[in-house]
Amino acid sequence: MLSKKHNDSSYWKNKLSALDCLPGAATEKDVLWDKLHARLQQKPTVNKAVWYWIAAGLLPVIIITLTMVNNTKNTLVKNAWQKEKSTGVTPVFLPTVSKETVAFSVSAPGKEGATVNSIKSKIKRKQPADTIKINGTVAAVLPVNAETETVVNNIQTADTVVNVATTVVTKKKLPVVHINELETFPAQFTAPVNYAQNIKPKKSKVTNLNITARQDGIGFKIKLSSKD
Amino acid sequence: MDIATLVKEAKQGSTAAQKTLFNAFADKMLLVSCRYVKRKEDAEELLLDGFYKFFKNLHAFNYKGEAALYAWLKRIMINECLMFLRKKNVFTIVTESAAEEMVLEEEALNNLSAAEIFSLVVTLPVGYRTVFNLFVIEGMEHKEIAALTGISEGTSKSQLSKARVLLQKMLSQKGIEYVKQKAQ
Repeated sequence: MLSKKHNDSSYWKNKLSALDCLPGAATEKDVLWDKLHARLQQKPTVNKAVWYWIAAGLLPVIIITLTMVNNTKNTLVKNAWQKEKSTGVTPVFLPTVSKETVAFSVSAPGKEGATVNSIKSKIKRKQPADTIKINGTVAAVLPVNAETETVVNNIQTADTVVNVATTVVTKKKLPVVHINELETFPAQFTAPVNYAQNIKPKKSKVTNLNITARQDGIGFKIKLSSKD
Repeated sequence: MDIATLVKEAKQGSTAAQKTLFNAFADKMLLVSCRYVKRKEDAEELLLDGFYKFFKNLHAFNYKGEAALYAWLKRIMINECLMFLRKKNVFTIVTESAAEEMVLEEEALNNLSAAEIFSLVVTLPVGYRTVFNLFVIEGMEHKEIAALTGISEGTSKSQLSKARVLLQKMLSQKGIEYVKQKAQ
C-alpha cells in the first residue's frame, strides 16, 4: 500500500538525506561568515539592566525581613515582661539593645543567700557610660542620655550566684479616660463645694509690696507680705 | 586537513579553522533550519545563531568523530529553530480539513526528486512541519517533542497524523502531475 510506505520514517529520511544543499539560489557563505566572525569578535556585554532589576527585586525583600526581625525581637521581650508580671519569674535575656528596650543579665557574687526584692529606681542619665552598682559590683553600664527604669527582681543566691537585673526603657503612657467612663466619681468631683466656706479672710495690713519684673520680660511677680 | 584537527584548532581560537568548519557544515545546517523555518532570511539568521553557539561552546565539546560533531551541531540548529518558533507562538493547533487518502502509482512518487520532497515538507503548516520534522526526520518520541515544543503528547500525535495526511494529499497531486507530464 502506498500510504503505508510513505508513513515509514526511513522513506522520508532517505529522500531528504539525498539533499546536500538548499535547492534554488546558492548561499553566500562568505557574507554569512563575515557576519558570524564579526559577532564572534564582539566582547560579551554585561547587561546592566538585569542587575538593576535584581537589586530592585531584592530591596523590598530585605526591608520586609529587617522589619520582621525587629518586630519579632520586640514582641519576644514584651511577652517575656508580661509573663514576668503575671508569674513573678524574671526572664533572662542575652544582652540586646534596641531603641525601646534594653535587657541584660548581671551577677552579684559574694552575697550568698541574699535576697533583694524589687529594687526599683528611676535614673535619668546625662553623663556617658554610667554604671549601676549592686553590692559594690558593676551591674550594668547605662547608655548615654537614656531614661531607664532599673528593676532588680528576686535576686536569690543560694549555692550558685545567678542574679538577674533587667533594664527597660519605658515610655509612660497615661490612659485617656472620659469622665463618664469612670464608675465611681471621687468625692471631690461629686460633693458640693462651698467655696465661700474655704475662703478665710485674713485681716492683715499689707506692709510691704514687692513687685519685681521677671527676667525674661514676659510678666511680673507681686509679693504680698504682712507683719504676722 | 581533517575535521579533528580543525576542531582542535578552532578550540584554540583559530579563525581559519573556524571558517573551514563553517564552510563544511553551513549548507547542511541551512537545509536543516530551512526545514523548520520557511523564510530563507530567518533560516540564515538562525544558522548564524547556531554557529555562534557552536563556536562559543566548542571548548566543552569532546570530539568523538565527525558524526558526533554533526549530530551536536544539528541539535544546536534544531534548538535554535524551535526557540525561534516558540517565540513566534506558532505551536497552536491548525485546523486543517483531513485529506482523504488517495492511492496512486508507486512509480510516480518514487520519481519525485529530493528537492521536490523537501519543498513538499516545507509547504506544510508550521505546526505540522515541526512535529513531522522532529518525529520522522530526527526520530524523536512524542514525549520529547512535547517537551521541546511545549505542546501535549496528544497534540503532537494529532499534528503528525494530520501532517502525514496532508503530505499524502500533496504527494498525490504531484504524482498526478507527473503522470500527466509522462503521458504527454
